[in-house]
Amino acid sequence: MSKAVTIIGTLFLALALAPARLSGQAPYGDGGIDITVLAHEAIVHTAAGERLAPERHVGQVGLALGVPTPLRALRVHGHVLTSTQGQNDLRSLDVGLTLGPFLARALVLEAAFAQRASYAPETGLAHGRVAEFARVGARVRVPLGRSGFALHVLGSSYLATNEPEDADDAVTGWLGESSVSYRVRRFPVTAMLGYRIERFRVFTVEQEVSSLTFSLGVNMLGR
Amino acid sequence: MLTRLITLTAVLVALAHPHAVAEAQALRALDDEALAAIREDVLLQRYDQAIRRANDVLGSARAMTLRQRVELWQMMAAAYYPPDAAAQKQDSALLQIDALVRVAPDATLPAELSWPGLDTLVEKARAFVFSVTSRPPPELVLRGASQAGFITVVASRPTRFRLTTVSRATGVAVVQDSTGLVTEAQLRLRAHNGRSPLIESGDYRIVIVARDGRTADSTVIVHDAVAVASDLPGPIRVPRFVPPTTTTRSTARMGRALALGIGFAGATFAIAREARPPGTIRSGFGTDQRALVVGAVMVGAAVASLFLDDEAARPADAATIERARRDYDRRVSRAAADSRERLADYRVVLRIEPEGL
Repeated sequence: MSKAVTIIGTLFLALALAPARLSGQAPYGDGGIDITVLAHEAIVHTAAGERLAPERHVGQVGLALGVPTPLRALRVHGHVLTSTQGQNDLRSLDVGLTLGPFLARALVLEAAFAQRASYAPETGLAHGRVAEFARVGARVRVPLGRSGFALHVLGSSYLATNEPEDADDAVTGWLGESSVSYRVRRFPVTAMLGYRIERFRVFTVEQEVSSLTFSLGVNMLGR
Repeated sequence: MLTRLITLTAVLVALAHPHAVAEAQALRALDDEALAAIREDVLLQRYDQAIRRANDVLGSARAMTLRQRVELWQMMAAAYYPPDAAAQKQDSALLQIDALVRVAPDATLPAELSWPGLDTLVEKARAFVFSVTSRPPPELVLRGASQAGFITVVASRPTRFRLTTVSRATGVAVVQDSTGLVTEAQLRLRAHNGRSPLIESGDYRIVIVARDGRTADSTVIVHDAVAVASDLPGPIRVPRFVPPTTTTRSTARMGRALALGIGFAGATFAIAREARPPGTIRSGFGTDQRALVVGAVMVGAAVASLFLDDEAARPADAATIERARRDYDRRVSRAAADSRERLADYRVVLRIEPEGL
């Protein structure tokens, strides 16, 4: 709990330090459609009770899409991430809405339906089933003036979408991500580098995935 | 053969030309002599003989100048309407006076022909006949927007005038001048209005529309003209006023950017290390160096933004802006003076045909 307070405190400290003229942009553009290529270099740790699986390095690639809606503050977003080591390995799907920006156009709220599958074949801690859950969170984006650089922080919590038959089937977890992006002036291309960590628990298996994230996005039809 | 024929033709034309010129001069001299004879007849009260001579002269009216026509009609009017009541032929006199007023609306009778009865008749004709005439000089020299040329217009009764130049090349019509109800006016022609040229090199029609103040009838006088203009001065470009800015970057802004970079780097570190709950998984993980790399990049981005953020330039202080404004005003004034001088160099010579349509 104290850690969560630390994260929230850090977010609000960042907001308090943000310059007065924050531009309200979508993560990769300002309105319009965002298409982003994702590449994650992940380290996976898996445990079931006292049993620990060896550390695994997994590459992930994917695609993210952001689409505006008639309501200006509401956007549809989604992403697909799949493992480079096979279909049955770590993969995720995320489809939801973003609402914002608020608070000097820096804060965006996110809510999504997500699916996640993980597989640890060497450990015997495998769970081939796909877990479904809801993800809610908030993203803070602070541009550094008009330099093109922007700093991002994302915090999300995982929530069960239905009442599980067994307590071990309940999905719990959280996601934290911090990144820096650069958008070329007068050219709607944004590159991003970030660090992401995810703590996930279901089917008696606990997993932590920390990733170095890269992305390259283009914004179309935006301002 | 062809060459010989052309040579012969040229020789014949050269021989014939002086002869034709001499003949025209002789015709004009004859009319002047005839006018002198008619004048003598009128002054000696030989009215019938004067009228007979005048009718003979009218047969050669094409060769007469305007001055000669005016003179002829004056003398004919005097011959038809002498002071001797028995010799007066008022209707015939009025015909001559009408003709006189039509070509010279402001014409009066010379002292030797004038007498109150005839003067009254002229005024009466002037009241009934609407006529206008223009008297352009053969050549006008116009300079810039200030030195204009003038065309005199005269009407037999109060009239509104409007002078328009029409380019034969483009068809563009420019209203140069207009008047209220007047019987005589000097209509102004300008080459330039200060912003754009009104007359450039080329053929023009000078159209004078005279609108009778009493009946609203209009008479149009058209003069053909040829304009020869000097080169137009190019536009003087005055840059717009840009308030000066200072390149001194705001310390607070720089500090904020650095604080943001460090703050987000700290958040990254917190996510990577402090925010993770203790447990079996973490014990096998340790500190993730990748988070430190991302945090370092964030701080680097904040430092780079100090150089890339052009919003950091602030407006200069009020005194500097005021000095820049005064300097700008001086430059604009100089440019305006320069523009006036260059405009004055714009010169148009307008050659106007004396005969209107």
